Amino acid sequence: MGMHAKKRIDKILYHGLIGGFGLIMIYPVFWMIIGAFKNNNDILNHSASFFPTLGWHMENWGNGWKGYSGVTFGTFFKNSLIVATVSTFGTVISSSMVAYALARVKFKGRKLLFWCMLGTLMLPGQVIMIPQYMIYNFVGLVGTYVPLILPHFCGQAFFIYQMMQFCQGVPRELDEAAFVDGCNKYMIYFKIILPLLKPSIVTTLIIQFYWKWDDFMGPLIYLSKPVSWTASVALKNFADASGQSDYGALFAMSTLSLIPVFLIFLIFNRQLVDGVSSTGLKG
Amino acid sequence: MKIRRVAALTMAAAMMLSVTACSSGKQVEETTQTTAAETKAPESKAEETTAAKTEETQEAEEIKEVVFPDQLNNGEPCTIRFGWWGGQTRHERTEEVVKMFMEKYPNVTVETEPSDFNGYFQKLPTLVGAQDVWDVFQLGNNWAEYSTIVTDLTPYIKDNIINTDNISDGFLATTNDLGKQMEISLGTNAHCIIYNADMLKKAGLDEPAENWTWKDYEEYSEALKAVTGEFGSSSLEEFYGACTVGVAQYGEGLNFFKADNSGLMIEKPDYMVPFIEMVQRMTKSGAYPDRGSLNEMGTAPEQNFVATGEAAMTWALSNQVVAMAKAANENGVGTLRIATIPRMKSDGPSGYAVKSSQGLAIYSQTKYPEVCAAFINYFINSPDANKVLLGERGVPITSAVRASVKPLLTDLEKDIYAYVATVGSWKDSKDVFINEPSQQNAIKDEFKNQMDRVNAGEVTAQEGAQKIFDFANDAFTRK
Amino acid sequence: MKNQMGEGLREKRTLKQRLCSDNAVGYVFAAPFIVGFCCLTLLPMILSLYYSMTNYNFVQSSFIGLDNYVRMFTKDDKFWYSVWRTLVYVVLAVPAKLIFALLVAYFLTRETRIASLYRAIYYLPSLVGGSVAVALVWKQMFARKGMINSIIMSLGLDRLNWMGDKVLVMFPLALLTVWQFGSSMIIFAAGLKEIPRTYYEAAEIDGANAFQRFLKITLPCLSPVILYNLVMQTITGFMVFTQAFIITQGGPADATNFIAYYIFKQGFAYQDMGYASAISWVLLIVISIVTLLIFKTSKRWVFYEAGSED
Repeated sequence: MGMHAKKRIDKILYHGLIGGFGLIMIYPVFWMIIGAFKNNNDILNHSASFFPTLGWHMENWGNGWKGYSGVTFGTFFKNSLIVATVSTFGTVISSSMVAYALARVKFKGRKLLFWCMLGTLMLPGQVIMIPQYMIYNFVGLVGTYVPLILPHFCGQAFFIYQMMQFCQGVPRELDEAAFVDGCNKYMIYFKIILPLLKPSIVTTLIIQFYWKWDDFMGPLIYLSKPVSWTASVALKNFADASGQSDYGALFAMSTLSLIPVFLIFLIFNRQLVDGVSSTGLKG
Repeated sequence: MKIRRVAALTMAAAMMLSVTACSSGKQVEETTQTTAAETKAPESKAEETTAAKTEETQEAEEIKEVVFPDQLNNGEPCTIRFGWWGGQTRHERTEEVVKMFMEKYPNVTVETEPSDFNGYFQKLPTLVGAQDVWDVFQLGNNWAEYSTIVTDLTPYIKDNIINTDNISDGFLATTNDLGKQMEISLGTNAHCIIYNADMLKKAGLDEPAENWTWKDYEEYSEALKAVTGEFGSSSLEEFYGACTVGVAQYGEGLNFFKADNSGLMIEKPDYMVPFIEMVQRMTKSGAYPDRGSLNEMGTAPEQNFVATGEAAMTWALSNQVVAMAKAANENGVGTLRIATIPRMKSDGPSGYAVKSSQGLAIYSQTKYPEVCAAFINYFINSPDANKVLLGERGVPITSAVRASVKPLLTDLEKDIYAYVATVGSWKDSKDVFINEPSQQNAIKDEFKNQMDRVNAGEVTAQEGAQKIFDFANDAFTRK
Repeated sequence: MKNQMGEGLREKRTLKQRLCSDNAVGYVFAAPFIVGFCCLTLLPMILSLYYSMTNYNFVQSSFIGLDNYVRMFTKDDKFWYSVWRTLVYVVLAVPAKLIFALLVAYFLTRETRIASLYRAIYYLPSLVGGSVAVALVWKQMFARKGMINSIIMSLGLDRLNWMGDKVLVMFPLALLTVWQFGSSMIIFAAGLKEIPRTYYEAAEIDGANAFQRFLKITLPCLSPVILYNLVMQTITGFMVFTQAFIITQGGPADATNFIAYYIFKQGFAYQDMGYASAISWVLLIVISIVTLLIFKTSKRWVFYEAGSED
């Protein structure tokens, strides 16, 4: 009885604490979603109140969806989906390959490569943006999705290093055993590393998809016509710093824009659960 | 100065009398307006009203028909790229005009590349660096940074490819830099003070006179603090107030920057000090928001403390008035009106002129400069195009377009048009340099930094001004 | 360069053997990165290094030697202040974010329905990014009469000027960073999944309590992932830009004029791309040193199961 009560109190405490804190965490998100039903003035000046004080404005959704120059958000979301999906696919393939090489294969110059890779993260993108634009402009690829997608097939440092760290967790004995079985180093990548990197690949999928979905600078610089815009660029046009803004429409479309990335998270979330299903390969 | 003050005091006394005497609110308003008019220096008042009138009559008379060419580029196909910034409404209207243009000239393809303001000014430098700029593109008042990549439009105006018959020289001059026509303005605006007329009335203050001073402004702010319960004055354009507008207000024939953008025209920092000190005093007394509150407020006109009723006056640009008034109306805080920017001395110069809010420029490396010029011509002169654009970019610069748009305007918008016309007609505006050198942004940020430090008591106003002065001089000597 | 082996030996090896040598395998697998780096990144990096020795302003550039660096080190107080403020931010935000991410991952990585619901709730904020909505809510929360100040005032204290005070302004910004901890959390979750159940079971039999298990098993097994997150979050911490851009615009009194924001300002607002490039390279060196220090100390606290021989 006492034990039971204590367990119950523990449970209430756990849910009260984690749930309560979760509500605080998520409040701004809900505020944004409710903001999709408010007008500009309500959003900007009555931000303290959660529900609309100046009426519910359903027209935000229509105004937002219609987009610009006759191109609706349907197109923008489709474009985003293409760019984010292909880029994420590219990142997973290329980053896992490079990570395997850097973590598992002792070849010459790999330390230098490792630092080059980290170095790409350390220089602000703004200072290499112009030369990069020049390169793509030179080969006539500005205005296409290639500049947005291509770099992802060349490995992304953030994920290469992550996969390297996860590779460290894969026992080398597995490699050796496979080698004895006649696998060469190419097959080891496919047969051992790739399957065992699954948790790392799942995190890469979730994070890279969201980053690409949210990326603004690349699409801004390389895409020009509204037909080719991604949703991130289109969203920015609702809040023009020079004066005209439609925050209601911005919030409405931002809310829609959350759905795909959240779905991706929900789908792959299960793969990250620390359950009994764990392979326990280290044991 | 002293006399002015006595006048103000008697006026205030008279006001109080009239408030107690008259039961009708309408009458009070009439009284305040007449007293306000009386405080104007008599000679300047006469001059300005006549100037405004002639401007108006000219507008009515001088509309000339613009004939557009039948074909462009000898009818051969060509493609030009057109970039601009804005929001949803502007994008829609601009695209429609582009469509109309392409229907008229089927051999010309205009590729449109809209974007938002912040994005635009990240993309434009990149394109400049890669030498891949749009053939026709929108620029604001900040053309100095791009002066080397812009085609001088003077020859096209001379050849009548860009027809300026309906544009007064004054308006054309807003985008002329040392003889080079950088762009053709699509809309003009002017600095102004937006104030809450109801709150002024409640505080027993007159409507501001056209030549009111910063001293008045400070007194108003202190008095209005009690009415709003928060601040008297909302944000001021501190940099303009102390520097570009402020220096010109001394009436010594000086401007903050030299006309050719080569450096500062002032030789000592003292010119900035009175304004900085005023902001410091008002911040200290709580009549003016500190940096934290200003940051909280943000820059959108709907967010301004005047729109929320937390302040009664603010410095703004005339094209922000409508959005601010709409929000103020929704919030039920009172009626907003526009007044001039206060002067240093009531008989001194205003220190500012009409600005171009944005215009169209042509890239220096374009293959089809004449097609681009014809496109600009169509954009500013075509009655059909402007029926779509509806002066959304600010007060249009051609009299024909202004006349055609006028019937569609609200009272407040008519006031704005009249205000811009008034500012444009001031004689002393011609002495104001409208150039903004590329160093201005850095100097502006340093100004903000020093202003914060003055308010925090880390440096005195004099020291702060000296630091800004040194920083600015250093910025100009670097290149 | 590729092969230092004797010529004779090399000739005897078959093509297949050569393809299976460590060098060949390494280069084949690293090829995507090598090609991408050389074609898309290296040249722009070299160009930016060159620009740092010019007064490049998008239109023209002339070589001015090390003037930009001299200016940075001798004349530009703003730069030094900006380095200092960035360091303060990194020290404040990065550990807080990592600890929070680790705790959430630890407590919520369970196979119950409610835990996965919580995890979704905690992750959602990371998906809204640096948007207008976030900026507005954040400003409102820390406003004069905002949520945080009402709590403070209800405790009988004076309200604080969060956005107007040089010291206090760091907290709203750091908190925003911590709030968006999602990516670190997911990576921790993946790392936790890798720790075999058997370890915990064995420890439980030995009588270790939950806290001891966390200390003795979770932390050591997770240390490579912790190192990874620490390095990445430190690098991205030094690159902090969005927070300053959307919320404070560098103020008050340059207190949030972080280096990446200052670089952006120099490059795009002041048209001084040469100087912006110079600062970027100094930033690169600063980050490299910090990263190197982390790697050096990591030898003491990171445990590689597989026994890395580096």
